[in-house]
Amino acid sequence: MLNYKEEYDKIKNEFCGTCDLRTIELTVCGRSACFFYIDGYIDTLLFEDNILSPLKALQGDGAVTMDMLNENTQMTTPIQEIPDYVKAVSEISAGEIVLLADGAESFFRYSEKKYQLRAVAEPPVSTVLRGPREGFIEDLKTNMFLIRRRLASPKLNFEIMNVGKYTQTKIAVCFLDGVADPKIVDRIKTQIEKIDIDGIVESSYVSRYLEENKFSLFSHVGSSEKPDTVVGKILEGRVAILVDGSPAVLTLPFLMYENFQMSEDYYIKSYRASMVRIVRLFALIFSILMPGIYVALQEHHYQLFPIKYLVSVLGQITNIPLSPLLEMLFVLVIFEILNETSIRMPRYVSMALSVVGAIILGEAAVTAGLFSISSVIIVAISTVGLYCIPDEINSSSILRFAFVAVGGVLGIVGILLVMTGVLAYLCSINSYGIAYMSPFAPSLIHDWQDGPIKAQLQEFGERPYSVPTSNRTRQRTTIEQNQNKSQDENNTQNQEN
Amino acid sequence: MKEDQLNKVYEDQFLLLAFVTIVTFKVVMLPQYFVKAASNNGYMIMAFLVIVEMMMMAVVYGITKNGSLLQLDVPKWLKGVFAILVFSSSFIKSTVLGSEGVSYISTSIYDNVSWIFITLALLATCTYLAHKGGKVIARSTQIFFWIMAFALLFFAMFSNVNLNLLNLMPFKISGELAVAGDRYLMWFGDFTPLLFIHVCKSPNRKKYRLALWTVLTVIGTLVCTVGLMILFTCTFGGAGELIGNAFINISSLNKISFMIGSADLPTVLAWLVMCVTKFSLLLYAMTECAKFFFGNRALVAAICGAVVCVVICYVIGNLNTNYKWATSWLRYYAFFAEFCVTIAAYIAMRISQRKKEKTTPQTKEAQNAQADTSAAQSIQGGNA
Repeated sequence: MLNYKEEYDKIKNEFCGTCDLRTIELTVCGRSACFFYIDGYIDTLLFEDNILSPLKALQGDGAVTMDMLNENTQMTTPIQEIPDYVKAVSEISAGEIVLLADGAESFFRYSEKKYQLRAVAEPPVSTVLRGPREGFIEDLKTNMFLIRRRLASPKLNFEIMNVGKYTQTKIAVCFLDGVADPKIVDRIKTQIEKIDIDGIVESSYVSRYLEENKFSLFSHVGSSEKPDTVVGKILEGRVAILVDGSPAVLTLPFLMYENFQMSEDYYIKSYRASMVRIVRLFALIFSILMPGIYVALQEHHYQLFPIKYLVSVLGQITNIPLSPLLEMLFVLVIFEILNETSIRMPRYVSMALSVVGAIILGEAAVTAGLFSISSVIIVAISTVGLYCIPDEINSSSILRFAFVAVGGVLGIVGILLVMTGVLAYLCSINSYGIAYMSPFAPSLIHDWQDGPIKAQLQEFGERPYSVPTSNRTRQRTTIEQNQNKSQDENNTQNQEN
Repeated sequence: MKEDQLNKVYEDQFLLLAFVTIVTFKVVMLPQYFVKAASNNGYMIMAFLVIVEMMMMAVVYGITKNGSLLQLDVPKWLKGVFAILVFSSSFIKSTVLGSEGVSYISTSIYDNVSWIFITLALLATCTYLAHKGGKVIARSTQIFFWIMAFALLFFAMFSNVNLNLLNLMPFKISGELAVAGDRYLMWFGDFTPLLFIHVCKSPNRKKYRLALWTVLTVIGTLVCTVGLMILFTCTFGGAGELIGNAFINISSLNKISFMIGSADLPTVLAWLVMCVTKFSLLLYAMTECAKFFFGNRALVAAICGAVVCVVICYVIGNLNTNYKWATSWLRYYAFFAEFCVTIAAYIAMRISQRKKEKTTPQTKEAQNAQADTSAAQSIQGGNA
């Protein structure tokens, strides 16, 4: 049985006198009682109308029990009993309302949360011309709802864990029971349980712990801000990890070729989707390699330039004081500075700084003979091309620098050898037991239907072989079966006629 | 177990590795040497030896589908002998063929740059691949395959060679072919590195697909080796003995190179990735053999790479010395080591399999006999 004074003091001490802890003391059935909650976290109108007023009006004498509270208060979520003050403090910190009543067997928890949330809107980094424009927000429940709305199946499973000593961040592991491989689900849950940290502020903290190789340049955990993308991955047998406070939902296992797949590819004709995917692939290769190849050609292999272009390049670089390698590195650094500035700068000065970047750095520097036009153009196209695959921008921009350095020192052979080394490294990585370069290395021809050349949606009869799953069949019929079916129906109609 | 995981390779990957292993160094200096030794009939000896090599690949497949060479159920001393033989033949081939590759790169892509830079860069990458194991080499080759395929397609579409079929005449099988085959044995018999992989069935395997890949691999190998030799002979005829580098000279004969400059780069790059794969396989074989004795994979791979680098740069150093090494007694040692190890390993594997088959049926018979005896005893007990 709880002693009101004692427990009241314990809870107040735990919160160290913080000003946003609200206490409402009252008498319930002749016993002293107190509600604890954090200001700004609850729906005060509902609290007053459905919980506080009925309890204040209660007559009688006796201990406060669960049955009595259920009878006399109206809630949208069930009341829970909390055995000790430690858990009660944790629930108050999480935004719940806790009732302490003198003589009761336990604390009682009400859940009537209401707080300011960002509206569901299109994510700024995942815009589409065709397709849903909803994006995840920072609230876990809303994100769970956005997935549930698209996957109205009782097999959709959310398992919630609390991680972070001080933040107690809720992390939901989401998968389709009967589709996702249970071993992978267990492995992910085990990895999350092992996280021992002060606080989880964003989902990237969790992804660092889920990655199998912490020093890798490439991301081993997928991430998306779009519910339709995440639902598509769950349907393939992957597991989604939602982190409260972050709009980026993680997906595992993650393979390299997923970087080239965008949600819009599945909403447009497969011919166009295939073309766009090939363009993305070439854009990435071009963006990473072109600055280095250009430097290598200038430094070591000028004989490979076509004659007319060679004359043009020679004319441009004649008065440049820097070597091709240093020139390219400087231009890359300047573009990285511009890139970083464009993300961080206030809107009010963006116009002026854009002018500075474009006209002064671009044209004036070239006219002054600091840089050549061709190097500025190549780096500009390369930078733009990197954003075809925004998720790999971090690794791509670092590799760009590396290839420029190697190209300047060793030439095209150096670039090729480093590219070979990078590819070999990618081929050696596994993501939760699956080869990272799957389905291209090792080759899984079935999965190529969703590769650079995308097949028609009706041909996706089985889930990808590169992702372990409990149920390989995705849909029962294929195009041929549908055609046979419609032919049979036509024949039947003709016979009837 | 972990080592086995490093060397597990699928059937289609094995075929690709076999293709790269056979083709890579037969398209550079060898055509020139064959024309010098066997005149216009060099393609015949090329065809004969390539077919023999492909047949030996079938033997290698027969061994590796049961496990890699060092996992076979054979006596440890025999494995040690195999390891020493394979290590030595791979070392000889990696130095000789590696020098050829470095010479190719330094003369064709650069303005005669020093061998040291190229060797260091090449060996760093190949040592890394060798250390990672057969699985990573196989997977990387599957990615490189697209570069090779694109380059060959590019060449096929834009080639502009003037073929003179009369250069193949007269057809005669003479002693010159045997002399040519004997002198240039170093360029043949490169199957022992593949003995260290373990070939497994690929997931979602379809038999017709494997048969198709096998046929394509055989045809592709013949086209790229014998076909290139014929192309070389038809294009250059007897003057081919003066053409230092068959592959680059053939690939520069394309329509585009006359329009926009040097456009043989795709085919050159395709050969370079094949060279990296082949070299990595040789270093991988050396690493596996040395690891059998010394244990630490990374250290052993680094030391093997360093030793090969030193030999290429400072002991061989130029193409003339390389040619002397390649045509010395070392060629017999390397060639026969390759054949002896492969055939001996196959025989040893079959003997151990036979032994297992003999012991397993006896065990079953013994169990059946025991069951009869106990049944008979229980009946006798009941009757009494």
